[in-house]
Amino acid sequence: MRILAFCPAALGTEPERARSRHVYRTVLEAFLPLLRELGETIVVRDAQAEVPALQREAQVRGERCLLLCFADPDQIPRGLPCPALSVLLGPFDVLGDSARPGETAVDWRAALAPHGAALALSSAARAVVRTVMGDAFPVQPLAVPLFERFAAGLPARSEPPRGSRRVAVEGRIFDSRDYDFEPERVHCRTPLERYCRRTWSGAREELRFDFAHAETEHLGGFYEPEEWGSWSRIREPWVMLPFPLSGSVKLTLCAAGYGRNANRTIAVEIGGVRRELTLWGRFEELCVSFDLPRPAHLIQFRGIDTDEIPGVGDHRSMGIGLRWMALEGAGCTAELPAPPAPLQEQTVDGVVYVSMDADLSDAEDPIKVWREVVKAFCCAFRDTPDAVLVLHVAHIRPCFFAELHTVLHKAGKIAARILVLHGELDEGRRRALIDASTYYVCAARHEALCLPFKEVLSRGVPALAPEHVYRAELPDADAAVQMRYVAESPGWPVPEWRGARKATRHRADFESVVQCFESSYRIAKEDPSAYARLCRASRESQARSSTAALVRKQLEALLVQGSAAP
Amino acid sequence: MTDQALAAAPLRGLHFLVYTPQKSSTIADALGKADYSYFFVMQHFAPLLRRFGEVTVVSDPTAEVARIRARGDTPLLLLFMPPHKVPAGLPCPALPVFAWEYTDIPDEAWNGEARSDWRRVLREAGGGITHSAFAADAIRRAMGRDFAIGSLPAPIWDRYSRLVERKPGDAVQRPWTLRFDGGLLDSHALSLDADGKPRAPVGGAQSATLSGVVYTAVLNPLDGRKNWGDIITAFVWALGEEAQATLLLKLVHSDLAQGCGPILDRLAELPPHRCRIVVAQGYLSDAAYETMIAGTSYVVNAATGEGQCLPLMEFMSAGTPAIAPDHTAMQEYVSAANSFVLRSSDEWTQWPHDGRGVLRCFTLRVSWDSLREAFGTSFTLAMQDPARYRAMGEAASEALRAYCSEAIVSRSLERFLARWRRRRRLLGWYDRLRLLGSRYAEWRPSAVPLRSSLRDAVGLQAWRFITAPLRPVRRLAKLIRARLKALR
Repeated sequence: MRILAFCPAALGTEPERARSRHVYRTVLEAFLPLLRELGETIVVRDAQAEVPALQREAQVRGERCLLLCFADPDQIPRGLPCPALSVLLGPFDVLGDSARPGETAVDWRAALAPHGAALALSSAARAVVRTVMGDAFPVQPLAVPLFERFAAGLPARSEPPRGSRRVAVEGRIFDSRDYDFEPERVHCRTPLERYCRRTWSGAREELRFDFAHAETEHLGGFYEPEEWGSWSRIREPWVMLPFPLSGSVKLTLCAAGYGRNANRTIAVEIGGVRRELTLWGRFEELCVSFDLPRPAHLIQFRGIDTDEIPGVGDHRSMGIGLRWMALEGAGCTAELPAPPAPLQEQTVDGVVYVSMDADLSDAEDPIKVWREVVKAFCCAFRDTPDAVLVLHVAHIRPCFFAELHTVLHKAGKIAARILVLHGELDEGRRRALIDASTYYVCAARHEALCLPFKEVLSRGVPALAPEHVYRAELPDADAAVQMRYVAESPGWPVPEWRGARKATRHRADFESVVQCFESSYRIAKEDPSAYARLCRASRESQARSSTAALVRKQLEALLVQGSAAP
Repeated sequence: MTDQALAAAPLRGLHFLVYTPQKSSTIADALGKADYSYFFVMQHFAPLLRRFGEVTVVSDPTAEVARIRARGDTPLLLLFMPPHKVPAGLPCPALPVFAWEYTDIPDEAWNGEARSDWRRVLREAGGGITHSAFAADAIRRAMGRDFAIGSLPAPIWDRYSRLVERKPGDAVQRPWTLRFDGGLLDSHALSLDADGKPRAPVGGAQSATLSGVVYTAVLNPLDGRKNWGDIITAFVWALGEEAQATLLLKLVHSDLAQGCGPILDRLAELPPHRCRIVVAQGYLSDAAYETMIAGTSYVVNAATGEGQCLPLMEFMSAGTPAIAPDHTAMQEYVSAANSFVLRSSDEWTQWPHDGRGVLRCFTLRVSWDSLREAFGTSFTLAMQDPARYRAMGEAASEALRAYCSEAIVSRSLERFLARWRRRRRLLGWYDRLRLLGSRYAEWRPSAVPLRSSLRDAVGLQAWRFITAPLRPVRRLAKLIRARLKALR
């Protein structure tokens, strides 16, 4: 048999698409050795151009030919004479906020119907295909043969890691211990040398504070950024610049005062030099000049009135609204901070919870429910100093760190520690991070194929995961720490399509996530046999479902069926 | 009459002054704005208070009360408002009457306002009245087990149970018409403009004829806790194919555009459905409100917390089964016998009036899934099992009788007042004792305490021998002191 494995080559400009293709490619790579055992396998990049010729060749030789597509339904090549099957990852955008969801569904039907069947790598993929194609359409589950790759040659884990461990990332690390979050005060302890990542030539620099800009992460004591900019939250909010100022500096603010702060004179302080300016009830450009005797990077506002305005329904303590700020001046050449090392490292100890490869770039429908996880972690470990959450994020939306500040500010003083690793992990650091973790936290909204989750399970690291993911990966592991997820409506706007009413999405149930953190911490500290049981269950689940031999048998039967189809 | 005299007076024949910031002349405009429901609660309590004595509604809690006091009267002032709004230094004994639906009361001061710490206000008042055991527990956790907090729901059962006779025994309603002044949205008749966007409703005299299985939710659309978005989607997800199912949202909000706007947008975004959603904004006359109750098959609540929930109590008193969670105040009257009970779970949240937004207490979030299930099962029940439906309706009215009939609430009020006065008397005695103690300390010539000077005189060994029989007495005295301290 000749197998034509198709995976679209060109990476699109949309990050969403690029990532899903990256996962498809990883999956294809995992399958290739097996496919080669089953028949002559050719990887096809441009299906329309290559497939007809390759199929004719096979026909001449009297061989059967099957096109195996590793792509989302809208990327599947159409109108080819060759029998085909799709390997689907899920979740898909069909119910999301695409412009014409009803049409997407029609489109899908046209793509999948000629195949007569589909292969699903996750139960989410299966559910969505059923929603679109109807319950009668055959969708076969298929596991990815990754166990050997992840677990080969590594000893099975049976107890929690102890002592100090190092975690590192090429990028940056946010450490909650660098900040003091109190209800009416936020303080950043990172010194100038560590906070400043570059120097300043004195040329005009503009920092924008709406949610589309990463500069929002330098705000202290503000609410979550909005479309236009950010509202302050406390009496003395600040902006911490990523570069030092020195000498003569001209600061321009596009700002407005809320409520009693309209027509109010407030103070701006940089490096001990104080200037006054008057806010208006509308956004205006305000200008102040400073002459700084020594380098400083903190712009501190003082004298804002945050008291509630009687009779107003909005109880928020807004004071000053900032759209943007601009800096011009002589520049700072006196003291050059050393450029930050590309490799950032931290030491962690205690019970360490790790989540990897989180993609937080989509604000509307975050696949990972990071907010709930961070909030629940703070709630569970308010008084537990040796609990650490390490959140590795590969992609973020610009205002992610500003949003993280807001969540942590609301949670207030906590004894536990939160680290956010932002950047890429190479194979070695990835392994070190897994080895450092006591538990893995999988907080997916959908039952999508989650490769990092499979990886940690193969390595025998116990995980906190939503029930539905556990059901898919660990069907008979009753020793697992399961987070309860509850169904909710898929959010607004709902597609104008009758089938849409079957669709739901899931959210983490806060109470249950807190309980999971508490009970898993207890197990790690006090119950070694239960911990060992969890490790064993994790590894065995993957050894049972995802070994090459097993998947080969599954695949063989499916391919024979598929290539026989008209 | 002194405060002590008030504490000693017989229970009947008291003089109550009642105050709420909302006035009856402005209530129609204030609907849906901050604290509007305190006015309705006061209206419900006033007749009950009259059973115990004279009731005067005051419009100024300080000046007017001082005038009344100057006549030599010592009234009891009941302030229908949240504790942080209770003014300091009131000229007579005063108790706040307030609703609460979170696990913990504010126990810290912020914004430089000492009275945002409710403990301070409540300690000053020496007691308070709230509407649910859930709230009373939260207050006792902060104030001590012996704190005089009354849990008294608004006594509304007697009035609304009269509507039981007007209710048809069948859940499937014959056509009836809701008439009112305000704005009306109907998912079957949304008018669209040239861009395909729904047109905003125009205010005026409205009428809508409803029939079938009618689900009604009465709520303020701007109060996020009421969760109307989930109610709409769960309804459409469960009963989208049922032309006989109608959801009536009665909005408690005075402004047409503000109240209907967000809901209109959401309605326009729904996937196709056969069921019907009707949204009514405006003030209903008593007659129209009663017609609505009589024509409702199920009353719906999906809130994260309720201080008592007057609309739910009214509908259920009239024999309407509910779809509601059994948390916060609702745990006292919502049960599987009279409702489709929704699941809910803890969520970390802020105090509702705390502008800092810091997470300090828990609220109970309703599971959307269970709401969807409840719509489905309740509809099936309505269509297939009229006997069970009738039994649920009867159980609803009975549960509310036991919770908020005048007889029950008046007994609770009597018990509470007696308790509060006992405590006040006790505290009065405690104050006198303290005064005596301080006078003694002033009078005592030596700075050395009496006991230690005696002990030094006889020697430690002898002192222990002499005082051994007194030890149990001293322990008892210590216990009493600790108890008095806890009372404070």
